[in-house]
Amino acid sequence: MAAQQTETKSRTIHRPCVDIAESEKRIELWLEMPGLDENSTEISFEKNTLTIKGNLTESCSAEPDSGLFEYETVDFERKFEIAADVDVDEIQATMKDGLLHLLVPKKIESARKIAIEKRD
Amino acid sequence: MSRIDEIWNSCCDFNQVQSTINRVLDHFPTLEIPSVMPSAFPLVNVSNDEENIVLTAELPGIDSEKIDLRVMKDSITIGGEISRPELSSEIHWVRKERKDRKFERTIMLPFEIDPESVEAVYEKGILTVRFQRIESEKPKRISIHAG
Repeated sequence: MAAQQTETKSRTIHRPCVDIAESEKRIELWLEMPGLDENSTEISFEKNTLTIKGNLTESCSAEPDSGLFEYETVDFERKFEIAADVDVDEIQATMKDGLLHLLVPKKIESARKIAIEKRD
Repeated sequence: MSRIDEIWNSCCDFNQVQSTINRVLDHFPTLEIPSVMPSAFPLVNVSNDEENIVLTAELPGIDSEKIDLRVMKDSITIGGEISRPELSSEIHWVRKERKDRKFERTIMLPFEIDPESVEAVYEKGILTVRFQRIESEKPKRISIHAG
């Protein structure tokens, strides 16, 4: 049998489904990204925008011609604009069974007292 | 530039249209996003070669112990439940797009298989099930004699 070429065609990018919960102190997100794990997912935070990207490294093995083909293997990307002030260093991310869970703590700033200098 | 030209020029950049639509959808005020549920869940891909049939299904974030697989000689039934975590009182849901539901689906297989040979793996949210075709359902080579 002749050697098969692995076609690295660019995959469709989907927006993963998300569940979001919020409290006074934190925002939690759950994103569905089947086929991905912590090695193939990238999370970044810049200027109040949280960006999540997932790229499958292995090539798609299912062929549309053989048998039933109901879903396509896709890459994922989604951005979220977060209105609250976020403690970026304390963002926690865990991934299990293709579900990404993010815990984003809010920065709670207490009011600062400003001293008034007396000018003579 | 007329108003029509302005609208036309901005619409021609379809990436911009898509990102505008995405931003609008993200600001949708309802808690749950209404959508048409596909009647079959989960979606599956089935492929086969001379010896085996391989079925894959996307089922992210499920407790694998809650996936119920039942196999017959010509079909497989996949059942289970997707559920959201319970939230404590100080936190509330803002957006729910994941479908939390019980599901059950029976898929007919293209060839008869040996139910004893079934292997199922659930990894990274993908369920992969391998079946061996029974001997009588494997393709047979027919030799051609020179006449």
